[in-house]
Amino acid sequence: MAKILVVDDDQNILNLLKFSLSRAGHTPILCIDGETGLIEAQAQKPDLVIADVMMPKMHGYQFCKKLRFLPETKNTPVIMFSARFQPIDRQTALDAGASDYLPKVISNEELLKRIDELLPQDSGEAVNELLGFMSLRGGTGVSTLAVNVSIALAGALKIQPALVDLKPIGGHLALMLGLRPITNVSKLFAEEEISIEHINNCFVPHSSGIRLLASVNRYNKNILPSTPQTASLAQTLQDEFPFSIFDLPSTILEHESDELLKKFTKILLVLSPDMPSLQSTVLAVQGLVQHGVARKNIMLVVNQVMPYGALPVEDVQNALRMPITATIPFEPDMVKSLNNRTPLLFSSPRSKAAGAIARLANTLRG
Amino acid sequence: MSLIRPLSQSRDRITADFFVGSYRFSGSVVAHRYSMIKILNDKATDHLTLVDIYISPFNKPGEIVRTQKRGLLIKDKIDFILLPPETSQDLKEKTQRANEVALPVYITLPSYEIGGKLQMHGSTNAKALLTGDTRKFLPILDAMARNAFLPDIKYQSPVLLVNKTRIQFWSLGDGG
Ligand SMILES: Nc1ncnc2c1ncn2[C@@H]1O[C@H](COP(=O)(O)OP(=O)(O)OP(=O)(O)O)[C@@H](O)[C@H]1O
Ligand SMILES: [Mg+2]
Repeated sequence: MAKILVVDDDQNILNLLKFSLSRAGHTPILCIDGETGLIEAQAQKPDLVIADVMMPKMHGYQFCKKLRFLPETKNTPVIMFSARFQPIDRQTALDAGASDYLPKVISNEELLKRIDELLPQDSGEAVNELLGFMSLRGGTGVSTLAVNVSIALAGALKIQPALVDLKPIGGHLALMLGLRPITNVSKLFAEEEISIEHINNCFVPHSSGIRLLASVNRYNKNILPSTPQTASLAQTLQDEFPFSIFDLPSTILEHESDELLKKFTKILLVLSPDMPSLQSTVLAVQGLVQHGVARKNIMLVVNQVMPYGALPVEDVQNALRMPITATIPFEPDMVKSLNNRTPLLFSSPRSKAAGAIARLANTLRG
Repeated sequence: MSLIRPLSQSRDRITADFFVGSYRFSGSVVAHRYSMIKILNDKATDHLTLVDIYISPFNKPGEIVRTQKRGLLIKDKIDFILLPPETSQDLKEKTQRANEVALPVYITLPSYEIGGKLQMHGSTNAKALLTGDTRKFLPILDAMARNAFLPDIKYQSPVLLVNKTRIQFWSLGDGG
């Protein structure tokens, strides 16, 4: 299964982990301190690292920071654990680059489960993509990008991506696609179980090939779907379609949404190049990681929704200390395309923004 | 089966967080089957021997600035102690006896304020508990400690042990 490097100064823990990891089919590599851990990490290129925080000489945070600087391990998932159990300790571990922080009293089953979740997907078999577009700040172009990336994928892949408007009420995807849905997701969430048949009955087809699950367009305070429901919708879609795209509400991190968020193969954080959006993006990355999303699955997309005055992209990149996957330039015709209910990729396919969106879709296709 | 449990409590050790003056010490006490509260209230020794100690300054309590294999903590100087959830849960159950009431309590120490619940007999009054009671450390249940200078820094624990001699102000009952 996977090569797992374990670094702990306690020989008892090393023995215990060796036993339980081997029994689960993994290959453990054991190290008694951070220095040998770094040497082994470079030599063996493990798929995942488990490190204790409390170690003499080089403690776990230092070890983790150094791992992040090695080309061999800069993206390897790292689980840190420690007897310190306060939220500040978890935050310190995440700031040092850890993918997760677990208390030392975790059960064997929980640890193995978390390892499976964090391990990179097997590259041998193709996984169906589940993409989430989101932003903590409104109006950064989340919906615009979700719609146009879907159109680009439908055109290039000749497949019919599923597009889900998860805004609980009044999402704009149907409007942007010029559709007048006669059904919406609330039908789906009213069912006891979400099956592919129910989903097929709720789809609103678009001429591009996109199949839309539209948002509710009438106010009703009792219709908020629960996380288990949305997670089950995501799972069913992923089992069935090569590409499913979610327009996520900006409030998603305020709920117990781990179960849903962890399912996405990629989460695209859309930001506009201004200070408030930058701040929201920093928080969104922290929030996603705390909800169990692996850092490597988070992608940043800068969308220039304003004609001028934007922060330079280099500044944005430096502030966020994360690579930016795509930059979409300002497009004066964007509002027109909205008002004509024709997505930009159809109304101005030759515009710079349309080109940048098509390239982004291509990157996402892998 | 709990895989890693033996570590924080292995070989009879209790790992806890000790707040002393400007520092947070995380370390283990070799307990020989005694509970932490027994060891603290034992009048025969005025210090605690800690092993595998990690030291953080009070203003950056996540950062480890130093590690020491072994060291002594003077009991009188300890402000309060946070027990790890697994040991404190046991202690919490032991502390909660029938015919006792849990009263909200608010305490200030030189740099921290502490809120939580105090377990006491219906008949005891607050003053008796502070002066008459022979225990050096009192358990506060469902406790929250907050740094008075840096209120964003807070700690939570099912059981917090507070050093009575460090208490400056204390008050029973809800605020208001
Ligand atoms: N690259 C761009 N150039 C110019 N205008 C843009 C660009 N991207 C988006 N816009 C415009 O920005 C506005 C907000 O876009 P959109 O509704 O997609 O954002 P959102 O993040 O989904 O907002 P909400 O928070 O309401 O869901 C729209 O008027 C859209 O046309
Ligand atoms: Mg939107």
